[in-house]
Amino acid sequence: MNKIQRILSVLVVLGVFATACTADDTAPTTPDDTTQTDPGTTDTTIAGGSTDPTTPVAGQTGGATLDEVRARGVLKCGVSGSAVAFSETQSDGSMTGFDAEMCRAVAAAVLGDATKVEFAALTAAERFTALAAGEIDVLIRNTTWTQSRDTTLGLDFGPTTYYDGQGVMGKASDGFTADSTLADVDGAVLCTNAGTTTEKNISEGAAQAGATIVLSTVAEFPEAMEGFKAGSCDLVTTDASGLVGNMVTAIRDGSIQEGDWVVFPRAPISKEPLGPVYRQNDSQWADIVNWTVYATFIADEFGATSGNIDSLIGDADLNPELGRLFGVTDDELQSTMGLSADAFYQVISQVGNYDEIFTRTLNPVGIFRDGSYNAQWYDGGMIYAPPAR
Amino acid sequence: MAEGTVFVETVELAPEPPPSGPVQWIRENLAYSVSSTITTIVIGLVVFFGLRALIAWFLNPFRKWSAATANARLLMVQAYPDDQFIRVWISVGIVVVLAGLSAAAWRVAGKVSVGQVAKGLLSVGSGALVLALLAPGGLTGGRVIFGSVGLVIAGIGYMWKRARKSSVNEPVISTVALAGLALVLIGVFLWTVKLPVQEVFADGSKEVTNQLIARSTKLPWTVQLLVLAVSYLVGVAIRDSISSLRRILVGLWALSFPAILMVVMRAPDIEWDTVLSVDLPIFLAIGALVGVILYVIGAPDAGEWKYIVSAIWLVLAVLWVLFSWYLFDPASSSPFHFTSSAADVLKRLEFKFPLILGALFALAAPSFGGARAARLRYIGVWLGALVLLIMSFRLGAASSLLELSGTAFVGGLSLTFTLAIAAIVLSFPLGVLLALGRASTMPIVRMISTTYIELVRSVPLITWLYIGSNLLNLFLAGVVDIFSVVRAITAMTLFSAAYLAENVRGGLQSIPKGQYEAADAVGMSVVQKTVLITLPQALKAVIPALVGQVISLFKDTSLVSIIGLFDLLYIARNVIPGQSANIGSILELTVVAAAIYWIFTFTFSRSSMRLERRLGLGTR
Repeated sequence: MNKIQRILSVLVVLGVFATACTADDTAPTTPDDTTQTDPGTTDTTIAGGSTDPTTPVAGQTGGATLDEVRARGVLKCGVSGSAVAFSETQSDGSMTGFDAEMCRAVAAAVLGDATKVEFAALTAAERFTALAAGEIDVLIRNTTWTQSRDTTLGLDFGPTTYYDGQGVMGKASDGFTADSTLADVDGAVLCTNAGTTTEKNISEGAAQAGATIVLSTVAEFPEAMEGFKAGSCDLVTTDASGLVGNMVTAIRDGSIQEGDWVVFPRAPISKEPLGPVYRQNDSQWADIVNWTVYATFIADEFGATSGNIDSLIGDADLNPELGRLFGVTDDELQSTMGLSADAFYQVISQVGNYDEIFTRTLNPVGIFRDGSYNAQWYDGGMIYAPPAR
Repeated sequence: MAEGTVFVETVELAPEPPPSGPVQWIRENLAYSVSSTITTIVIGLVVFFGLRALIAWFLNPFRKWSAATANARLLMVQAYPDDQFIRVWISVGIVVVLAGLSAAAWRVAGKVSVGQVAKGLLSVGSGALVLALLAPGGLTGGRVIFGSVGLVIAGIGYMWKRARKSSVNEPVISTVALAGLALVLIGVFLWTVKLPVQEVFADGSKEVTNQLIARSTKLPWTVQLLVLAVSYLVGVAIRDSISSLRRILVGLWALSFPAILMVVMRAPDIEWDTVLSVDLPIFLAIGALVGVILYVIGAPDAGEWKYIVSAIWLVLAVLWVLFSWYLFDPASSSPFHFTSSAADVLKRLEFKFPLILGALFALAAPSFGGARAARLRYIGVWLGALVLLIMSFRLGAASSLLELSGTAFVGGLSLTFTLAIAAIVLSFPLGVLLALGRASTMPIVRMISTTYIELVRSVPLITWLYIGSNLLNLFLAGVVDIFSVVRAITAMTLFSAAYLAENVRGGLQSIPKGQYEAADAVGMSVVQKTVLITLPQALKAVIPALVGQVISLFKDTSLVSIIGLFDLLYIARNVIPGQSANIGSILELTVVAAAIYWIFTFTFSRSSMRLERRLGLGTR
């Protein structure tokens, strides 16, 4: 009896495996077929990975980004989600700001619809891995273009959309003015957030200017601002755009008067060119992102705005460069890039030109173009697009 | 010596009444010596100025508390789509219904004396009044409101206390009535109390308007309050007629988490054709075959061969899963290059994991088998477990009907809860197994368990999160999105299991040897001894330590922001202060986040104290 039971159970175990083996062959194919014939379910984001077999593996991409975005029907754009005026997550979860508008511009160019953007809010540490792993198509997350990032990460940088620079903010009551230099900060307590390049820049800058500073670092920049307000820090330092944003907010609150705080020196401590980033070795996608940015520059240069673009393209005296760019007189270039002829018309009409984007997103926090590096080249700034021809 | 003299007390003196009154109280408690007087004064001054500074900070008109109220939704669920928001309310509703039914089933209702309530009101109200009076600065609006609310509450309490003194009998009041009153008050507050809310327009101008506390959510919250009351009443009505209500509720609570996660938050698109054509036949085949084996192995005769067959089965099944998962990935070109998506992996494993489960059931079959009825019941349990396993794989592999903007699955408090509950639930069985393994007499099992525990415990959680986030990514290349959450859950589970194992091992060691010997004496098998004798006692003994671990795990979820997940604390400290309307609100939001953490951890610790009292811990 015992022996029979033993043999029987071994046979049954083997039988179970045999059944499962056949099931194993049939199981993956059946559901796959159904999902792939149904386009509505292929582009969901939370299904645990793309069912698209072309999903790139880290470091192994070959010019497929455009096709992928087209197939998906939505652009995945990496932003910060917590950068004042650049990408803010609003209380309803929507994304606003300068970087978010640039994402929308790319979506308008590629998909013809500025709303077809899926924003991925990324931390500073995660952003490059997310891009390299193909989780996002383009990264527009106030990212500074540096040599090391350009060369070591397997990524490429697009044209700079915003020229930022590190500044220092002090109080007028301490004798600081907009003309102060780093030599004047001798002996001051200077606060900033740890783990960023700002810390290194200010130490190096102050040492070069011959000033001794007491550097006090905190985890997040807003904490440094609290210390500055409370008086435990004489000075705070970060990108000038952030300093101005904080200053303007404090003025609006009524907690300080205009002129109580000043940002200096006139020439920033460091250069922080911010712009889009994409995976390297995908020239087609790089061209699309670059020329979307340039299209906003060129439209600004020739005065085409979202308001007047429709009357402009109907006009016989349309600037020939704009004519080519908007696909009115010649659609060859956009088609070569893999876009529809009116791609950049869609960008300007749905999102606006560079000046419109800038005014809409950055003016409210007190950042203006006039006299900055972000003015057009003919106004003394550095916003300069190659000609569209 | 003076032997004959005996002094006898003839007059009985009445005992002197103990001195009372506030002066005496101060003398006894605060100033019973010179040093205590000095200490009292010093600490009193520190508390006075500390409180004053704290209140000044809280009531400072520049404090942006509206940053928290205006972004309540961001704190709770991050970016959940508007048109799908009903799903969030349904998940809250599931919890609310279960809470109402459970409150009735476990008979939380008690009696509390009116004097007790009055005392509570008096202290809360006078505390608020004192805080308002302590506050520096002029009579600002908030301070007056705060102080007068305190005065009213204290007045009600005082009058109640007086009324109680005059009456002869100690009047009592039901806690349920009090809770009902509180719910009604909350409901009224939702619809009437207005707070200033700041709005920022595109041109940078701001407007402050008075708005209701829960502007857009007052209706759903009112509905939830009503649902809570109704489900409690329903529970009261049915608790006497359904004897196993508590057991059913425990089951429902266990199911509610995956149900909320899957059906409500994720909305899987179940392909019913596949379920009928693939899942059902497989379920029937594996279920029936393993059922037959269990019936044979569960027979009441002894036999080493049963364990040998089950063990071989287990090893084969585990190897097969590992090999098919990693080495024979059909979508990859080389054995160590993985390209399958998560859904594919889940689909492939859907029919292999049941074999592992079957092997485990077979191993335990001799312990739970026996008579025909027992064996059939055991097979029933096996079939139930199989259905749950296959269905969870099917749900996990199905694509989602729910489209979210951004790659964020969930964020904010809901992410914190998802991570904490999943990690706690998953780490519990693993931790118990590790503890048993470490206490086991089998050298290899003991060595593996000890190595695991010591290795995991000696590395910080942050490091495990990094490792989990990066290495799992390599193992499952091309699998993104939801897996950032799963990666975090995996790392937290593995980490927490090691600590839990040590806690449980402490409980196992506290069990007297006599218990083991008694179990041996009545002829129990190892499994029976563990499941029926030692483990229940060990777990009961370490409840305080386990609750401590749950609390710390709940708070540790705030570390996941370093691997790019947006939990409650990250949203409070980074995302909301990043809105141009709320620049400089980081301290306010940190305080709000701390308050939210405190509410939940305090609830955990109170419920654990309740559980300890029910189990009679510390009274033996």
